[in-house]
Amino acid sequence: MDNILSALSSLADIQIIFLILAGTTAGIIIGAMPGLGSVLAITLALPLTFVLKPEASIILLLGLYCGSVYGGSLSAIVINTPGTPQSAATLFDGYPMMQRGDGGLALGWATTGSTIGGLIATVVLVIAAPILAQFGLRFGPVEYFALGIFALTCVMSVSKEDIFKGLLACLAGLIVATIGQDPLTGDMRLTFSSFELSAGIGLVPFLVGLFALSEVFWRVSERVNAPKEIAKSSFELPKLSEIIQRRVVIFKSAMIGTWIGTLPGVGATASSMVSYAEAKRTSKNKDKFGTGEPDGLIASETANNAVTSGALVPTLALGIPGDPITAVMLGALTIQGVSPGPRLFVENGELVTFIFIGLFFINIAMFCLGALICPIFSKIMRVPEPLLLSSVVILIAVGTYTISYNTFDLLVVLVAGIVGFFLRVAAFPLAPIVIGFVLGNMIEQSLRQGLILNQGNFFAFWERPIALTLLILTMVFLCLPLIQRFMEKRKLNKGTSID
Amino acid sequence: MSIRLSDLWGGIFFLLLSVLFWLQLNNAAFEDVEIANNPVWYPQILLICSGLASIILILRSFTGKKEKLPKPNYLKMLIVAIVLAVYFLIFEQVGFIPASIILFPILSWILGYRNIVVISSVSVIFVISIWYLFAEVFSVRPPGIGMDQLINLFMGA
Repeated sequence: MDNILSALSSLADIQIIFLILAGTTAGIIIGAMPGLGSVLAITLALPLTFVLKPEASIILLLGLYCGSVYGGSLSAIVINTPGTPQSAATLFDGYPMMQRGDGGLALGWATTGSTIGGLIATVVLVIAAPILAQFGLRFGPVEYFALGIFALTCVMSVSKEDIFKGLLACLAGLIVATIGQDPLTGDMRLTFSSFELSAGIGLVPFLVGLFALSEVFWRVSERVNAPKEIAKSSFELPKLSEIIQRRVVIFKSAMIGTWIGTLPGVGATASSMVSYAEAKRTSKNKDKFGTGEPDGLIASETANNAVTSGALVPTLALGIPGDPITAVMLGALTIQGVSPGPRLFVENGELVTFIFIGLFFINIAMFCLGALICPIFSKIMRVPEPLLLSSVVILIAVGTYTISYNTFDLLVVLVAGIVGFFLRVAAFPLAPIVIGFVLGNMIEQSLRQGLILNQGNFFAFWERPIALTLLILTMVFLCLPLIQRFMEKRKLNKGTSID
Repeated sequence: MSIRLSDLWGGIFFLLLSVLFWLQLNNAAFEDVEIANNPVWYPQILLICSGLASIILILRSFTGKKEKLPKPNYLKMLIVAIVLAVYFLIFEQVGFIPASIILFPILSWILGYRNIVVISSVSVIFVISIWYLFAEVFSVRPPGIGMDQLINLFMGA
């Protein structure tokens, strides 16, 4: 009860209210800009978290996260281009609704679905996270090591295009995390005799360069820049009776989104697709899907926003990120001196309650801001890209530099940006690098602490039941795509031999 | 570039990086230290893995897909990278406001936007707003001369 009152009083702070509104608005706008996305929104705000209190930083990042996932739906509906990959399924029915003159209602359904999805998932987060954290309290270094290795399996799902390149990128992230002082002995490693590298590569310059600056380079170098036609947007909320009528699809999509959100690495894009497919499978209007059926739009939008709270369950309770966005959030919390994981619930109960209640407020703010932003959305979309990219570069520079007033950080941003650009060109996924970089320290420390505790005996890692289960699960997750590929090939071969 | 070629370049890049990092870690002082207290043991394991993975990627490039990847405009990217390198290098010495007010129009021009009135007005308004946001709202002063000093300078004159 004390925690709830304290969280409510923090939320009444004018700075927090401003950050909820500013973060969510900025998130919606950035999410609506095709190609920018949630990761960019959060990485751009990371430098600001250094000057804010932990509560303020977290609320800003959460606002950006929820807002950007929702924002992606606006461009999907209005210009037939999803602002974020999470909204890819939204355009199947959103844009046809827009074409037939129901654009305002489509935006209204997207806003309502996103809000309800976010709220339901937050309730699940409130219930599930403490239970999971309670279980996590049994963890020692050996279990943490196994958990870290298990968390790395999400690399498999974020690099579906090329798992091998994803694994190599993840290894690169793990290696970069070892640069600087050894966390146990204090010896210097991989510093190339540079004083600046002795403190390691900073999380913020590395992430900002890898994601935000490489995105700028990528968009600069794109050869196709055909401007999309932007229709005038309006906003119309669905009637309460209509919402009640569609309660089953809303609730089911929210649960799918929450469940998929808790799985490491699956993410909002998959959740909206799964939810869309499920809504279509069970709908009476199956044939209307893809031609402007509100159920399709609701399924996609409710599920992708439910992922935001769902993904926070393993992030807060176990300290393992569900996707690149929560990996960046994990980094932001660490910067604030808050260590996500089972102990967070014991040591920072107040902060956890604040996050829970804050998420409710953010979702409500998202609803109100959506209603305000949608009518002026077409004007926002007319900002010329060169001006937008120039602004992003200036934000990157000032945000990164003011963290430690060090030009070396800007150099890290530039190098990470150039490397990130060439990795994109060579079709390497960037998310595994971040996952490796964020988890690297925890994996190394827990591995070596585990070895110290067990007198250097590696087999002790297999003797602990929780660690053993996690390591077996890791093996299963690693082998699953290979087995699936083998089965698909076999099926294909069978098919061709029958022909 | 085809996927094959991207595999080859990617493999070579990561292999060279692994070798370079390995040479950095090759320190005789840690040879007799037990594993758990050895600072170079863990990175060395990672480097062996990445070295092996890079070699496999290089080998895969000989038999991999010939599918083409989108070809970016390297020249434009290179020009922007050089402009940014200069901006980052002068950022501290010249200061945030002058450096950014110079960068914004140059970058917008390179990226293909030609409306001088819009570029100049947006650059000034945006840079000043960002300065106020950082200096006044977040109490983090960007480097160089600030708006307060500029105003004082003009008022004094």
